Amino acid sequence: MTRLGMVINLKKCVGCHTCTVACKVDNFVPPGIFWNDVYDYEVGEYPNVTRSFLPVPCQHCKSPACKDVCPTGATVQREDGIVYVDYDKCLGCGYCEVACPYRARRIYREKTYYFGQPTPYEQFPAELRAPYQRHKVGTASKCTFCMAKVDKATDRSEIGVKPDATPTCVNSCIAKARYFGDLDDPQSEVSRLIRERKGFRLLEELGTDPSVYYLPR
Amino acid sequence: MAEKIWEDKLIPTYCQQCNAGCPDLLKVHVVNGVAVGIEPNWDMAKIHPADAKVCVKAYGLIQKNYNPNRVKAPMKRTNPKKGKDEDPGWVEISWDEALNMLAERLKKVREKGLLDENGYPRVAFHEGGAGTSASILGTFFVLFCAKGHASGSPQGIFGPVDMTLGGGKGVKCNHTEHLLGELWHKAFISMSDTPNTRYLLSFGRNDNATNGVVGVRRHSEARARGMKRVQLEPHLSVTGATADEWIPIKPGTDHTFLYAMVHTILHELDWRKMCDVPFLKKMTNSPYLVAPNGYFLRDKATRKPLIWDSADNRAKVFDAPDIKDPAIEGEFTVSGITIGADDNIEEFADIKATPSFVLLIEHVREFTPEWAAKECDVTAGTIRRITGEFFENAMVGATAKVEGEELPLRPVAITQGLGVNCGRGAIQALWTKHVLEMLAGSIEAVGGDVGVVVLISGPVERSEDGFLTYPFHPTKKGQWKFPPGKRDGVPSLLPLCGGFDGPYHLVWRWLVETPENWPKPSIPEVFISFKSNPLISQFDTPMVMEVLKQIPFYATFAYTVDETAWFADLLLPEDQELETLHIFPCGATNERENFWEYSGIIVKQPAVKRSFNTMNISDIATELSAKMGLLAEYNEALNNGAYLGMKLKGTPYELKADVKYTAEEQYDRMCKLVTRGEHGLDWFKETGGIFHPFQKTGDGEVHGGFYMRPWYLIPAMRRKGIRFELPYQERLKRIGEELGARVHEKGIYWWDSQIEEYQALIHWQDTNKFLDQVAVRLNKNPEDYPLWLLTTHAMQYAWSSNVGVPIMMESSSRSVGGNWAQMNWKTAEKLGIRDGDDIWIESAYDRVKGRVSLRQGVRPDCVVTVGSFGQWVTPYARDFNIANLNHVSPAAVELTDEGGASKNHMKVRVYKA
Repeated sequence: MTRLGMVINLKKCVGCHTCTVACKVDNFVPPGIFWNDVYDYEVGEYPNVTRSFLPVPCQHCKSPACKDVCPTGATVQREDGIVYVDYDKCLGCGYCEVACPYRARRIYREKTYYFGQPTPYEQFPAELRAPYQRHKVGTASKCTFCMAKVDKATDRSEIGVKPDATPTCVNSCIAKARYFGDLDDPQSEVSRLIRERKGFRLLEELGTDPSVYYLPR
Repeated sequence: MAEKIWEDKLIPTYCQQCNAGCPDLLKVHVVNGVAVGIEPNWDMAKIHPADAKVCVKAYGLIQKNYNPNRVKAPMKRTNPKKGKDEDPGWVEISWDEALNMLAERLKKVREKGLLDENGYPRVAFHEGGAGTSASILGTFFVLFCAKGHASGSPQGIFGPVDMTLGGGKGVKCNHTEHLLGELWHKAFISMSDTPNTRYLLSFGRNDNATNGVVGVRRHSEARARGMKRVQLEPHLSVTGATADEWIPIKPGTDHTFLYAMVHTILHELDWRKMCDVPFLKKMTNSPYLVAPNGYFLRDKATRKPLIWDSADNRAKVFDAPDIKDPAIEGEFTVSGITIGADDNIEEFADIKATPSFVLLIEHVREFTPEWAAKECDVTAGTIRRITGEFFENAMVGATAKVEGEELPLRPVAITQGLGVNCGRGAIQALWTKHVLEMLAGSIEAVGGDVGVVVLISGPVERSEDGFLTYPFHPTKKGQWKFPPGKRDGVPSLLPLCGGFDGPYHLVWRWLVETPENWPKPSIPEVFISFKSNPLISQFDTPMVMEVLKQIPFYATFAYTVDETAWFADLLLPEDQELETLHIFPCGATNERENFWEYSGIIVKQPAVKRSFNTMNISDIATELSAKMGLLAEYNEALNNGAYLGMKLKGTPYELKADVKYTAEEQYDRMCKLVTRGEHGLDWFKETGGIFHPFQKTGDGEVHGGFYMRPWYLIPAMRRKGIRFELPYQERLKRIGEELGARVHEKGIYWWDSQIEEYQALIHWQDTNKFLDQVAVRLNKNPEDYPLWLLTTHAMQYAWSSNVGVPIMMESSSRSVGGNWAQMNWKTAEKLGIRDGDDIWIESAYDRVKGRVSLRQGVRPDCVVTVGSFGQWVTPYARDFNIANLNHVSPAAVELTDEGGASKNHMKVRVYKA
């Protein structure tokens, strides 16, 4: 089996948000919504303060809380682990937005444009985009691991290696902090990094079984 | 009917919105004529040092291109009155009318004479913000600023123009490091050799925000490998966040910390064991003997400085082939001469002279860690520990092979941000930094402190005294230039700025307020500016505005109307990144931490059709030169290589004098020239560019008109027998004495504190006193301004004209503090200020309002602002409500250092608005 997953090296991330912006541009993500946010936060009290960056895309959990609460079956989990929203089935009830412990989902509530009026880029016809890039007001919106790209791979070994078959956030990361591949393949780079560098997951205790691993700072 | 895809292509081009890329090589995804994506140019992944990855700013290019707020056609002003509250009354005009207007103005100037009665050029030209390269200006560069290029032409074909009026570029951009870095090791910018560094001491260098993709990559890999970084800065930046240790040092005391480090190694630690003594002896001026008058003791016949050879027990000239053991300690009886100010020769017979290194040791005796601790708010123990760590990691004696050449491996470096290496205190901080690196032998060593970019001093050449050559402005009697001929007075006042055109902040002030006994500069009759917004980026907003109002004719290449463009008479909208055509010399050691194994020529090409009635800047240049009657001169200059050193003359690609070539035709010929006829522009458009290997240990190469230095300078210096001019600054001492004499002869005494900074061994001084002096001059009590106002950068905005691009704000505001003014929670609490409040930030000069964000990672005595905001005209950005330091920081002589720079620091008080 293939289980697609991501590894993010927190020692390398610089909080530059290049991934955030590249993801938005590539996926036509509307203003105010982030599929790939990077949290920038301080802990402690002056002068004993640390500042850290935490990129949080959808964790594509094996037991996704969002899927369990979805009343319409709009949240779909593929065999390779990718969790996505079928906009045609989504009612925008927002249960998933609340249920997701990673705050990876947002309801797209209102059509807005970056400059108040649409640019030619924002007017790019929906039918020419991948289905998940056809943002629909009143539905849930989230990262898909760029599944249209992943699906371009003719061979499993291309995923996370060939740019065409790799999520945009991985392709765009200037610090080379992100890796993508098959978690079920012990030979894959992601599996090796998790093994060798003590990869951990966020809120593992909740039993969501996320597919995004982090390497410690 | 459903739309169909009739076009789907990836167009290779590059992003050069700022100087931190080299540039970034990318492809634009265009479907049905619309740009829908940006991605790394993976074809270049093997050539680019960071797999061709591109910066966050490049991903904003699509929005930048389709921005409906762009100036969509040439516009002229109809309201003759200029002021903040005067609507310019823009009216759209044709390109023909616009360029006729500008050409007529320029022709009138030519008829009247290019220089006014005071010797100042009547035309002022600002070539753009920091890092704006010749390529971005296209062949417009040839009209006004060909200086510095391989053509050897002293100026553009138009004749002398004043390039001193401008934005914050120069005076607040690592400026003092640019000068001293090039003087000491051809380092316009000083960088760690990060892939090999073990220990990096960074005084506020914000690499993660400003060091470009390659810099970020190099540092990320180094962190993962285990390089230790200690970050000293008053607020915890995005770079401090990834450091191993953050030391919240008090602003303006970085040099104090560094003096204490020099003291610690030379007076408390075993320097003979821990320092690179062979390097001090062979590669520095540590053994040069100094006479009692402070000048090098020289051989009378050859005038060469003397060194004591301990092996033979006698003095020899510094480059004598038989020197066996140069002494850096001791006192010796020697005879010789000294060459002082204005070539004053003194003869000494059998005097006691010491190597300069002995004087260095004495010089730093008083700077104990206990003394520094009180100034810097860092414990003496920490200073001692850091010093120890620095030298323990230096691996003195180790070597590394690069390209077959054995080089010293000294993996320790010190870097400084522009709050440290620019303005008062910078010469002290830079000198001590370089002295420490000299002691460790890490300057230009593998893993040490290496330079990048050479804009002032040219290729590696040896001076008479055995150092790197440097083009000082002359200060000797009879050679000193006065009146200066430039409004900022640089040729008269700033000897270190030879070969550097500015701009400078004081020029704005002097245009309305002339200092004593200074030739009054006149307001320029025509001002042309490009990619810069001085009302936001230059110090002293009120002063800049005062001058702009008085300029009779101002034309600017406007992307959107902005604060400065508001005062213009003519707006010339040129093509933006995704629609324009340029070529650019790429790679080698071009900018920031860009160390490439290749150099080449790349093309920026239209990925999409123009959205508006804009024009390629090279075509503007051609039209304008024709309209001024200078077409033949323009083509001739291009033939002679005035643009990027591309000499077309005598080749099949030579331009005819009377033909108006399009940008396509010009660049096509240049592409053919560099490929010896093999490839034209179309081939470059298809491939993105052409590269060849660049040698890391060579002599460097002249590429695209600029000298590109090698990665490591030591091999070239060894080949030419050159030493580092460290620690002793005999030249600076001489220049200072000469300059002092010159200005005093003219009755000028207001520049004395700058002249005092030209010393053989740089003296420590309390640089914060200058801020208090400004307050007193403004009849204010310095004690009323207890807080420091500082600036920092976000990657989204560093150097680029991006404030009008919403996705940049959307992403950068996710950072701690957003882009708001930032304060420590506790300080705010005492002042009754809450997170998100509007506050006034008031200096002795002026006050500015903006929203505040409260943090823990800021010193309690500091307020941090992010640069550069505070817009009131620029669409979108005018609603930000972010305070800008420049509104409250005056352009003041007191705050200006010996290199003409001023710091992004101000003392302020803060209260709720």
